[in-house]
Amino acid sequence: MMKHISPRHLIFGLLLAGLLTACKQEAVVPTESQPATAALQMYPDYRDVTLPPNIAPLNFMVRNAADNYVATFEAKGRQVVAGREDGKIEIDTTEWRALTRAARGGDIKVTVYAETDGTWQRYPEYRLHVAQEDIDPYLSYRLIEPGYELYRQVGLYQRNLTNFQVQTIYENNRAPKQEDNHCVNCHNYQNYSTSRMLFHVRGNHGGTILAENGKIRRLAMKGDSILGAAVYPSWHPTKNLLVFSTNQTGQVFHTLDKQKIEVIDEGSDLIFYDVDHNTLRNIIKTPNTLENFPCWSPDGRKVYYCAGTLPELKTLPDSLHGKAIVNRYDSLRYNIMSIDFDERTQTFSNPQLVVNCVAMHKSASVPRVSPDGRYLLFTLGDFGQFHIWHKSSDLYVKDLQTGRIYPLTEANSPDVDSYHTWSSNGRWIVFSSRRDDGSYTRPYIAYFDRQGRAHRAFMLPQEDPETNLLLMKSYNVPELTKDAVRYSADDFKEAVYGPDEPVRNEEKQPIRTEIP
Amino acid sequence: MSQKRKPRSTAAAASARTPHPASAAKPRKHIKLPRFSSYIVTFALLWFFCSCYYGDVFYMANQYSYFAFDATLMHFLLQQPMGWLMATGRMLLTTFHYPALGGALLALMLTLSGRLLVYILRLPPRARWAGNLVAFAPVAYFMYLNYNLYYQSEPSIVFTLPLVMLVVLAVVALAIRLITGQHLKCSLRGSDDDTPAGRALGLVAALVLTIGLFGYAQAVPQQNTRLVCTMQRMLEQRNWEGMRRCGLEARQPDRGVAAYYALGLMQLDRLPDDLFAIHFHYPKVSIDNRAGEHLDGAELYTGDLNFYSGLINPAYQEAMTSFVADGPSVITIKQMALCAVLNGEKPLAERYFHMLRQQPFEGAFIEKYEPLVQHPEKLADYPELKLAYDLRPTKDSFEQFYKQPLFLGYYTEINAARVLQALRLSYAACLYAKALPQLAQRVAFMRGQQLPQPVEDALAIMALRDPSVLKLHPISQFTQMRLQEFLTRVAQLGVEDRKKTGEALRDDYENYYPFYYFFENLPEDAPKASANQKGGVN
Repeated sequence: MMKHISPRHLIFGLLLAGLLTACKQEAVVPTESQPATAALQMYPDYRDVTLPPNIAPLNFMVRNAADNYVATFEAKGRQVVAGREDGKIEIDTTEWRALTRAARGGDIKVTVYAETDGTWQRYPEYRLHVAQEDIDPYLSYRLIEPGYELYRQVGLYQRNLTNFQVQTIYENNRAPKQEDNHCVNCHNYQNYSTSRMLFHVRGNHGGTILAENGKIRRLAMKGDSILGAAVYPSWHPTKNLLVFSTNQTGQVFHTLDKQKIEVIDEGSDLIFYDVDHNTLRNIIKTPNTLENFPCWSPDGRKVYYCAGTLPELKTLPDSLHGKAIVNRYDSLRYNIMSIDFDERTQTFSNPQLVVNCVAMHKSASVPRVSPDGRYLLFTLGDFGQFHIWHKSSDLYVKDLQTGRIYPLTEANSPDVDSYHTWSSNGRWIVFSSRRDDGSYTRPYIAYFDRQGRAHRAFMLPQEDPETNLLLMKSYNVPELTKDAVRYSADDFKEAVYGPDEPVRNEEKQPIRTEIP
Repeated sequence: MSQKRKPRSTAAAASARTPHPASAAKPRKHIKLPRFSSYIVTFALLWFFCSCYYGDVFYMANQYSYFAFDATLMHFLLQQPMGWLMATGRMLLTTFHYPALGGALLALMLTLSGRLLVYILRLPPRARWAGNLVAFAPVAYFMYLNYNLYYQSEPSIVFTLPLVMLVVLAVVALAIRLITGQHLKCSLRGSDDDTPAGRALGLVAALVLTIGLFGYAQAVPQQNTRLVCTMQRMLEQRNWEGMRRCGLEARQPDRGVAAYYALGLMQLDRLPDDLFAIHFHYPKVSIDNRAGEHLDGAELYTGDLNFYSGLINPAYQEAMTSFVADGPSVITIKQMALCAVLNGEKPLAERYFHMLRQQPFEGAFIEKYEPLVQHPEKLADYPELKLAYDLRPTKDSFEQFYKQPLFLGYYTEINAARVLQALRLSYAACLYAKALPQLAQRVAFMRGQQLPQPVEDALAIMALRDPSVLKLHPISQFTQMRLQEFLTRVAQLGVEDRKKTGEALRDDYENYYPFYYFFENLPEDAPKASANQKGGVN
């Protein structure tokens, strides 16, 4: 028989077989099934989460061993079916969108089936709660390996949350080349719009990349009286003004502790940059107090920030501050403070204690005010300020109307929950969490209801649900925007490799009030 | 079969018919070589060299590589210029998980390249041995690269170079075939105009080139590279005795050889007694990273030293640093998985095992260690991991506070331990670092006990300056007399030219701590810290 099959026929047959197996097999809901004996193991775990109606399909993997899998999603008389033999439940985006639109303000019922030896088992159904409010469609983030001293391939990316499209904002050198090597961090936007944005470049070609009005510039944010490089930024909600922290940051490595790294500021102040006038000056300059993570209030009248100190710093010369902080890293705690801003005179005054974390034996970082100005969202850990390495860190909120401070229990996890951003409508928060494996940070999205309560958070969905298992980089600094970045990666590259622009240093007396 | 065929070449036929004067007088017995014999021999010799002798180097090149069919995992490589070529090379490199298989593939590609060159250049039978130059040259080049073949370099070169060479030669050969219409004649039977003399020359050339490779492999850098790779592979196989023997085999061990030798001794519990049986006159190592920076190569072994001496977090950090700078590699993923296992980080360990599962042929490692994730109580079944776990520091500290130099961790700073073996490590570290006061502190509690000979020798040196040491630790007459004799000889030879004196004394004072103390591992030979991409917090 075989001698009649020519090699040409054989190749054609193999190609045909390949094509046939590659064709998507229609998932069919089993007509008969029995309740499953084991609990459903799914990755990511999307059970009973609240999701925005415009989110991309919540694809997932079933990890219970079986031969075939099917999942049904039902709401308002509509049904979407997906399934595959490898356990990956990948939902058609068009069908999903119609389903979530129909289910807005209601629930989607999900049932998962698994077939073993010709018998289908049915896992207990669960619900997806669809909120009324959409989430801003774009999420920017940085991808970098979790930690340590080196950087090689680092990039800023923007994900369209309504589908799975990812746009590269900027990537550093793809191939190893010492003269090109640089890091990028701290991307930031003005009031959820990409019309004004910035990020920093560290290492070779270092500077602050600032884009506005179709022009990109690389700024050398330096000054004789400025402590160091401009670091954590915040853009005034309406004016072309920026505040930054300026930090002298170092890190030390634990030999035994599971938190592995401690990132420590030996010094930090707040600085102010007027973009239109290209002037830079200190806002708060204190040798014994460490100010960090500035953030404008939505009305632009206040800047919230974190401030910490150690009592012994006052008695030590500046040169010994770093050593003292390293030795007592677990005693250094930060409060949340605010200062007033006078838009007319462009002056800052009146430092006020907003959250006394030290009294709680806790330490705060990244204060962010909700767009309606009512809630102050921040990360609280046992000590320090770089909470991405602190397993104790959780999201907390202060209701600025009532003064009540409470944890976002439903959204928090036993592992790190840190860097967060509000959606422009104040109903969603996106934050970085290490709950998946304790090391690789993933963006989690949580609904924040009108009562100030966060709902169970869910991991950023991916087209291939295995992506978050295979991607060996962390998602850093999630930032939501209403529109896509308007510049190409090449535009940014041109600016990064172009000449830098010096900023003018303005001499104005900074606040020198130390924490008592 | 092929010998019965009549040669078609008229020149060759004429040559065969014309009797040689000498052979007319006395018929010479020709050694009949099959037509394809030179290629078979070339292939066989290359295969033997690449798999049996130098196979461990290529095996480690595969360990410092990573290949998966998943685009997400390979993104780091595919986004680079010519990333697809490097990925192809890495895919082929996975065959070196079994050096016999990888060696066969490499030898086949190189042999074919040699054959194609012969065709392209239309070399006459007596010049066809030159094809072997092309076949052997890449192997010699790989040996020339030493650690740069795989360490902080792109390891796919092991196959991309032969592959590109083969493809280019094949394309040129095809073009010639299409233009000239001349048959390729590249079947295993060889060319029809081959002559016995030509085949013999080919055979001789292959043999000479192989001997040349073996000779080159004995040069100090090449020997050290091979030994380090062998020791790294033995470490994976937990062949501690093999590691010890490899260390002793090195003529002039570099820091890598010394590190793995010490690691082997540690596992055999022969520290510090046998530590100074090798020479600590480190040769300069030439390693460049991917960005073109010159390195001292310490990262090659510090991860393993840290891990097996219980510094789990620093080992993880070392692996992560390598992961960041060079992309994922099998060896770093394994290290990170084991670190996560010992740290009790189950989901993290599962992530690394999952990643490792995407790389072909790594099932044995996963099968062996993955069960530990769910069953940490079985740690006692893995003596080397159990020892690393027991050697963990008793209290947390920052790695920056530890005292250099690194030696199986930084044990010169450790004062408390969970197991007695940590103390022996600590002695060894103090001896290696020539930190005699710290050594005296550590042995203080062993008053009246028999000290290891190197420790006693070290205390004897210390007693020269501080005789009160003798009150705490009585030192034998033999030890003191031998030290006096040694010092007398040193005085006779003079210390102006320390290197020369050391050379003169070496043979008589092998494995003698005072010789190490005064003449080996000298501060002026210590590597200088290299600038790299360290940029603080990212």
